[in-house]
Amino acid sequence: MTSTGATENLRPRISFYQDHHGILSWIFTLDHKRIGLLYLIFVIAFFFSGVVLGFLMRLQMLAPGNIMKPQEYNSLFTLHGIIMIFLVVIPAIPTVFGNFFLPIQIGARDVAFPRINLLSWWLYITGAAIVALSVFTGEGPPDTGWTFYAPYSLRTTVNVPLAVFGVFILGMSSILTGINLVTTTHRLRAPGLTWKRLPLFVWAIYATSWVQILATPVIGVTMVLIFLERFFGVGVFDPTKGGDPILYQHMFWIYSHPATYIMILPAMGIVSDVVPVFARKKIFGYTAIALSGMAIAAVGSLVWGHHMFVSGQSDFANLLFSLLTFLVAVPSAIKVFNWVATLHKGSVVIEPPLLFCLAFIFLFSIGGLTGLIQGALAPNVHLHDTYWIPGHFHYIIFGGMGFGLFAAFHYWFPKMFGRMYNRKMAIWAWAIMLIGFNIFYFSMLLLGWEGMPRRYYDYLPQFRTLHLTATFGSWILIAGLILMFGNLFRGLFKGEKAEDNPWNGVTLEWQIPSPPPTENFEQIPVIRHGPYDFKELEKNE
Amino acid sequence: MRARFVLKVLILLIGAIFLQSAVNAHVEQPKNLSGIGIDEKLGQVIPLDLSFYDENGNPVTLKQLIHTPAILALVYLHCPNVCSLLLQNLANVLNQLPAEPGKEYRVISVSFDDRENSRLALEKKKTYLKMIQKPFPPEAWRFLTGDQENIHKLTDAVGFHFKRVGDDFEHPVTLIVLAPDGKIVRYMYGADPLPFDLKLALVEASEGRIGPTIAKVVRYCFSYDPKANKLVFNMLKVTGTVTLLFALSFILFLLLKGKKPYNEERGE
Repeated sequence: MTSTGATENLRPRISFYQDHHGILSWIFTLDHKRIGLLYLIFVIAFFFSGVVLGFLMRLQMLAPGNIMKPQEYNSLFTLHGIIMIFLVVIPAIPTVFGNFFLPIQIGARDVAFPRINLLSWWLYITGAAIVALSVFTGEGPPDTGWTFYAPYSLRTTVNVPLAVFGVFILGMSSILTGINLVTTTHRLRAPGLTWKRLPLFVWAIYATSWVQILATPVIGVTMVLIFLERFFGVGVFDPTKGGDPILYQHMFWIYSHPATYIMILPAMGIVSDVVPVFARKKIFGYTAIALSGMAIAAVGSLVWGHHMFVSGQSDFANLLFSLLTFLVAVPSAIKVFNWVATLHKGSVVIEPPLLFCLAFIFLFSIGGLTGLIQGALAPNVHLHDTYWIPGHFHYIIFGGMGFGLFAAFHYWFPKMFGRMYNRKMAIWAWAIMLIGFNIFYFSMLLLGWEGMPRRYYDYLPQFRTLHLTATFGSWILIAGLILMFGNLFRGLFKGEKAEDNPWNGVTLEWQIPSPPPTENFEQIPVIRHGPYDFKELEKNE
Repeated sequence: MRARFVLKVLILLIGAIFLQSAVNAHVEQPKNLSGIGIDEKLGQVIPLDLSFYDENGNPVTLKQLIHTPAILALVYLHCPNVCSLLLQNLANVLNQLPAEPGKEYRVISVSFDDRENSRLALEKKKTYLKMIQKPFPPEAWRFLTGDQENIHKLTDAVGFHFKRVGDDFEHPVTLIVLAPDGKIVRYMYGADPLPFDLKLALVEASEGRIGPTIAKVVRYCFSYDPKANKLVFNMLKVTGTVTLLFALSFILFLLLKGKKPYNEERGE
């Protein structure tokens, strides 16, 4: 995008790293970029603890009974779920990249409410600390599964209340981030930046933020009700006290299903931003992609009942939820077709960010199609609570959101840190992860298809081969992860200096220095064209 | 100023955490408020010298019956709803189970109603055996009745708490899998046991390994009363309305205020 101050912006200025020094200048910063990086550090730390827990779970399946006790396995899959869902995948993209790049992409100096932004981070840290505390205190770590299903979560003697309280705090953090980013998008756009000129990443974060604002209060209330029931004996969910456990399932999924869209929508935004840059071509179907994001957010909020097909809810409810589930696949497919159409006849440049996006499209398609299978009523009875389900949602959450996140790492790394990683190594890591991922999770789909129930610490002999294959795949996947993060980490310190616009992107973040100065823009730019007009860029040069 | 504000927030939050763990430490888990439910006794051995009556009215001890893995079903035979459902489903599952009845496992139903006699037991036995479509040796599924003392010794030993209400009972619904020596190896809650779970439990029982409870949602033999829950539903309505009102006013604010004026932004 052209800016009135294009020449001025090229002048070397000090970056936001050099502006202030010391730990206090970080943990009390109001700069959206620094807050984004604060989130990044913790998201990566929690991601790795989640990976270790997952690795141990797979190890258990190598030799069931010899490695850990059943109760330990219960705690393990619970913690893996809580950490990965609430501490990594829900916050990761909106808080790290939404914070860092949304204001820059719309030509603003910061988010609308910088203090609330800092508060969100503190709430996130507090919630995370409380969840961590629940592991080491009380009568042992939670063992309910990340879903905290009642009435078991009301009766188990292990440390559920503390974990639930942590999730409550994390929810508050999520709502505040959502309010902040929505307001920023509405109020702080640069002159000339109309809604139809917004980068698609901004559209995606905008849609996500609305889901965060509207759905998260429900989980907050649910967690409060668990509290009331545990400590004051109010009968809400426990049938012995006149409560209804199905009510819990409804309330939990009214939040947690939209939460999966909180995870995947921002990743879709990243793909929509990256694909045109490496195809050197305007995105195909801009409006369709932008609006399908909003459609996913809207329809996706009404499909929660498909988690409860076998809970005994009415047949009519089952039919309706199944229908809505099929409908929500339409906007997702629109996006996939548009990305592929963008690549068609483009001058494709193969670079790590694009490869991660291609992996996203491939893995997300498998995840989406398997989702349709279990979203149909009859197969669901067979597949419910089998390995198929974790197989499916790892394709969506890890294959989709995870690879989208990795694409963002590789795409924006030079802008965030002003250095470049080793591109060849990044491609190796990508290939190893892709192979390991498919060996691992496709085995899980097959296991589920054959009837292996999820969350069991043991299995019948006929499942042995597939379990071994899955565990083997998990090792390859982890090797790829280590290589990728090692390569990025090395790039932080030893990478060559990156140019301001190494990928020739048109969006605003590429028109300012790498790493950006504290103020982002010396002068607020005036926008005259869309975010993917590559011809405009060439004209300026 | 800013640091002080953040400090205040921090103190509040840390206070909240400590308060929370303090509450957590002192409040006991309310167990079986109404005296109905399961107190799991995994790994304990039930007294095998308890004496009951078999379907023909002859006294028999548990020791005489249990020498393979055993599935124990505690029910009352004239139960109008969930216990008959449990036994029906069990018959159905037994039909699908590849293990050989009598040799690899056996089923023992014990009525916890001391007013029921062996004549009713014999009648029920015929009904349920008929539901299993394959040949099933009658000695592999026993229907026992007994006196109050023996019944309570057994139910206490497995942690099964129930209450008489008129002619009927309020009680949890579960199958209990026992090892050949009478050790409790697994509880399987609910009225519809899965063949897979049962198979796995029997394998473990034959090896004397103790398995954890899988499906933890216990079904009870009484129904849910939505009227008693008015308070909760009202609370949901109120919080839902507040959330929506907040969202609406937020949208209005965004639409009415529009973009921040350009000059103001520039003048920072």
